[in-house]
Amino acid sequence: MDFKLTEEQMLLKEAFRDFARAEVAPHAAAWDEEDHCPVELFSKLGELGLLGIFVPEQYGGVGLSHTERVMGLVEIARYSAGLAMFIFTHQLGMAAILDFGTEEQKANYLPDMCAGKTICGLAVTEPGGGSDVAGQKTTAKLVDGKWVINGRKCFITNSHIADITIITCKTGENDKGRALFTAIAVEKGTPGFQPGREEHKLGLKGSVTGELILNQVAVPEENVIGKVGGGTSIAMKEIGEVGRASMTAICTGICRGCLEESVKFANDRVLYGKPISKLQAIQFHIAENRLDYETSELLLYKAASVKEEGFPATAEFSMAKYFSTEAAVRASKRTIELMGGYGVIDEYPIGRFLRDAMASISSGGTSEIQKIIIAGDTLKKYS
Amino acid sequence: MNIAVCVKPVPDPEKYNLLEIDPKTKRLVREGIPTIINPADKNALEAALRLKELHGGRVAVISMAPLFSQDKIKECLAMGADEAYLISDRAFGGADTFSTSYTLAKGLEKTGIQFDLILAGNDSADGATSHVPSQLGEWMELPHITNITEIEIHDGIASVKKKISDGLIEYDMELPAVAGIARNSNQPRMVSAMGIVKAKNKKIEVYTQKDLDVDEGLIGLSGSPTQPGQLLTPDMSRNAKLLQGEPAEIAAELLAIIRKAGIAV
Amino acid sequence: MENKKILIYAELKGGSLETSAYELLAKARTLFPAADAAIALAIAGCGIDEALKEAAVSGADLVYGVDSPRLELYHVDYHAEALKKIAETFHPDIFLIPASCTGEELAPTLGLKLRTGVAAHCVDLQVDQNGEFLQMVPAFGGKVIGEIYTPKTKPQIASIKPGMFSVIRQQPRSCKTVLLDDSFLEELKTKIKLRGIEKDEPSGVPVEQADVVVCGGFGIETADNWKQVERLASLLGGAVGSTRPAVDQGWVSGEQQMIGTSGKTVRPKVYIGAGVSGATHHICGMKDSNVIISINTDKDAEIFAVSDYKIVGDGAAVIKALCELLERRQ
Repeated sequence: MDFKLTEEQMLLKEAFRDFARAEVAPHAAAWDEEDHCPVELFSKLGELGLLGIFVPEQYGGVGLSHTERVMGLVEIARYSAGLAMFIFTHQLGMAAILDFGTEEQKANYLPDMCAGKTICGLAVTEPGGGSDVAGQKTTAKLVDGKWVINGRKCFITNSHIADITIITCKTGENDKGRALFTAIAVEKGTPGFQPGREEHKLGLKGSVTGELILNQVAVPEENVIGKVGGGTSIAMKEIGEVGRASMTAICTGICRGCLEESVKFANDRVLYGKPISKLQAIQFHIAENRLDYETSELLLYKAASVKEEGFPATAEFSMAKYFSTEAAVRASKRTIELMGGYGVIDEYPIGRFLRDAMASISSGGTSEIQKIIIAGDTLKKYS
Repeated sequence: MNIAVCVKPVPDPEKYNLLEIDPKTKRLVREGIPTIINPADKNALEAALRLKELHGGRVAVISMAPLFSQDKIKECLAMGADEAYLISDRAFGGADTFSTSYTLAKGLEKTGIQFDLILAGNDSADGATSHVPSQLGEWMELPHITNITEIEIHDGIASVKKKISDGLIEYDMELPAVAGIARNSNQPRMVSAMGIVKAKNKKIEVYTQKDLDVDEGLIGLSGSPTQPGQLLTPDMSRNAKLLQGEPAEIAAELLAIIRKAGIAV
Repeated sequence: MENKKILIYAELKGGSLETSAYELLAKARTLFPAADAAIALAIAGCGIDEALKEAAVSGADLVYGVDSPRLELYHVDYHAEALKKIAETFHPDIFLIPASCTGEELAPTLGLKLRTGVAAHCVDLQVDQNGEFLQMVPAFGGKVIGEIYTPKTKPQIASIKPGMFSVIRQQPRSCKTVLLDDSFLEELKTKIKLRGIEKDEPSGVPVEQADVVVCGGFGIETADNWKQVERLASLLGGAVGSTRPAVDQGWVSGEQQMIGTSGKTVRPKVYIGAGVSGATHHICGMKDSNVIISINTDKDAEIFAVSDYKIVGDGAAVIKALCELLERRQ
């Protein structure tokens, strides 16, 4: 059981951290204040190699794994959870194409997505169902060799900026009468397909969240990703693993931000003639921040290593996501309190950390959903 | 073309506030201070990589440093250098620039590569002597110019611009030559994930004293013509008097202070 | 005590001696009793008659000159060779070289050519109780000062940043001028050819010579605010100084006004720092100013520790108020 990073991983971590410090940290507060999604960084992220880090070299990627991918997201999210949302949603779509697409689809879509030229998205949630996946009402009918899609998606990240969105649509029913869904790639600008309202959120500002409206949108048959009727398993697998891994990474990054900011503040702030880091009450807060961070990180990399070995990691990612998102909220609140009056001043990032952490809880499955998944796995394994 | 870049791992200037002098040994305590590649050397490496992109060839980095600096050398390989040579031996420790440049020259000789151009960062963040490029050139009997902001190669000539106090002087140097590249003269490329993956297959060769054909009397602390004495942390403090009030009130006080200091306004 | 010989490279500016020559000469005189030291100035240029005359009454004991068209513009091979020839004629114990952009290159080159040690960017020169020449050099951005000896070889070469020492005019002494034959330069083979020179736009009083320096840092925040810095410098008859962040922001072009260990050293009568935090390397470049006034919004800014007067507030606002006051009085 080796808990050490490889030499290559250490170099990568440093490269991602240096990038985050130089390109992300100086602007994170402004992106949050202006609710601006930094698409201008997209091609630099491509150059960095983070976007396609888990994609094989033959499709324009770096040929490493999702472990290195989440490592990069942690470094980015330490400064901007919003930017990390934008990146991981793009990677979510890429993962669906990589895991379920044809050779032609992979060769067609992935290289530009790795290079930071084409933005990808994945749209599942609807007003009628997010947690309730089967409640989706968007339909797709095969008419004259084209899939015609009608419906509405909401709370979709990258809604207004994605060049290609993979959309899950109801395409039929199985013999038990259960709805069958298909994942279909829809390109921006296709007639009848457009973003609707853009949401202004409590947190994770700097990522675009909005509606997608589909009105008689006709796309070629080749745009189906995976099997017809296989959409649910694609969505579940990618959201379950790539999505939840990413949310965990984001909240681990937030926990690290809380830890670093609280230590810095405690060392700098002098009260009663000495830094408040000498006070026990403050030390208890620091210890708890440390634990929230270390535990989130451990759960993240344990789940990532199970996935890397090729095993399903649903329960592991569920546990990691649930724990880390709640931990990030705890750590942010705790750090705001540690900082006293300064904690609520916008010049410090900590208020943003709390808002970003709160907004993270409902992304990739609510905490309640995670607990159901964890309980289900536990009752099976431990009976 | 074959380009060599001399690089030096140095304590991170952002963390200088952590530096302390050990009161017993009177030497600087460097443990716990993170190391980076000297910023000017990154500018030199960037210049070399751009020349390689234009003219083809290979870029080798060479460094005289402790063995644990290998991860910093790997960073240079990840940026795009093709191979690395690390000269590392207790015997080289404590060298001043005279001995360091001698040892680097011997290391370059040992690689067996005929270098067309040897670049180095103009000065290092820690010692900041800016001696090494000139002295390296002298040891190797090659033309050398320092504080260079631009460099172009054509027909066996390096055309360079050297920064002087009120402008730039342009020179042509016949290759092979040594050039000290000015800090901030370019924007070093970021280390990319792909660069890191490719660096895994690039070699770092380590040279110890016995690998190099060096005169013992010219290496390390004992071979250095300059010898260190005591280290001091200078006290530059003054007792500042606080001036308060509206900007207009402060301005009036400042005017009085400025006139008292002998400025006629 | 045996006679000590000190050689000083006197750089030229438009046919006369640079201020650095007088700074080094004044310092050299303090090292040994006048009766025990012979101080020589080395001059290398083209058309140096006026310079030689000026040097002869500067307070030096000897003046060596090499006059050659090869020395009209700076060329490391020719200039180093000329100084080497002078050093081999005079045989100095100590050789002081100003660490200007050109001197900074000549010093290490000569160190190798003469097979001797060079102490770079010395902040002080002393003679210790054993009569040994002691050179104080900065390291780690000036956070640490180290003593350097050159025990075994001669000359002991030291480079010193212009402005590090004060100009103290010396009384002229009985002085011999030696003009060396320059044919050795004609015969010198070099692989470096000078192609041209690009001069910067002249920008008023050089920062290292001004009586007042108004220095702006990152806290100035905008290019508009920077104009106030320039306005104040102009009204006070002084020069604008900058820190590296101000250069990076593009408020000043180039580094001619940048103050710090990797920039200029200034010692004006009045230094006003606005929006300057006071990183060690900057402080090393202005700590010997006569009166230091600092303005910063951060009450814990490091610059306050080396200031005579401190104002916790917006630098641009205070400067603007001072400009208005000065303009009203005019």
